Amino acid sequence: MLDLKNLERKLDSALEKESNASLKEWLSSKRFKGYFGDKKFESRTVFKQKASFEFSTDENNLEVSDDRKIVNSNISYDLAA
Amino acid sequence: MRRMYHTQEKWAKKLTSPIKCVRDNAWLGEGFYFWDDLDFAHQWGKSSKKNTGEYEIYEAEIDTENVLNTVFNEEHYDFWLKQVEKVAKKIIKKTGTKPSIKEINEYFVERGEWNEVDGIMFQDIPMNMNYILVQGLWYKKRIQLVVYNEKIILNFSFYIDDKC
Repeated sequence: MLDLKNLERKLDSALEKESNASLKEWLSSKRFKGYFGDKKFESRTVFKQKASFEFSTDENNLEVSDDRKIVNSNISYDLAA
Repeated sequence: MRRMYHTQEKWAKKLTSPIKCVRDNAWLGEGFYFWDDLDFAHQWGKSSKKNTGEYEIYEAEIDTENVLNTVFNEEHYDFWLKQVEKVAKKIIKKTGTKPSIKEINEYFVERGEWNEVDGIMFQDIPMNMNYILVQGLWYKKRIQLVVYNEKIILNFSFYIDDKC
């Protein structure tokens, strides 16, 4: 049986230790490392456009070669199984 | 113990164990995903496991002793809700962005060191009237379990296959 009090204590302790920088760093690694490795990505789209992406904690830019640009767009999450 | 269902594309060989979902957009983080309701296991096969034109559903017994059951256990639900909002508020305050449910769950496991939690059971809204028999009422919970500890998955076996 799960000890909920102990889980809460561990979570509170982790949250107390977080600084702005540590939380931003953890979050950015979660959001982009899987896709973009070292926070950079470059590929061709299905329309043969060159698409590049570089992540920063302040602004997320997706550049496509014909001047289309998506700034700070939300990345959608699917159900998964 | 709880009987649950695992959906995958149909390939030449039958699976002997479930496939771990490592997709970056996995809803509740990296883990083994199971459906509580067979209808939704089929729905997932038809909508998202279409690569080979057919899908398979496997069944398993899940030892839920150390699963955070936010669907049927009121104490667990109240606890989980409180922790979700606590982490979300912290992330919003520190980063100015709202976290996803995947990020919240990964925070629990990685930063909160919730190693003793074998999995999390969660529900959302079905949004598909094909599986609902009452007009305008989403009365059926769409329940999923993500398993972090493979050892709680018992008697994994083939159940049924179908076309997408």
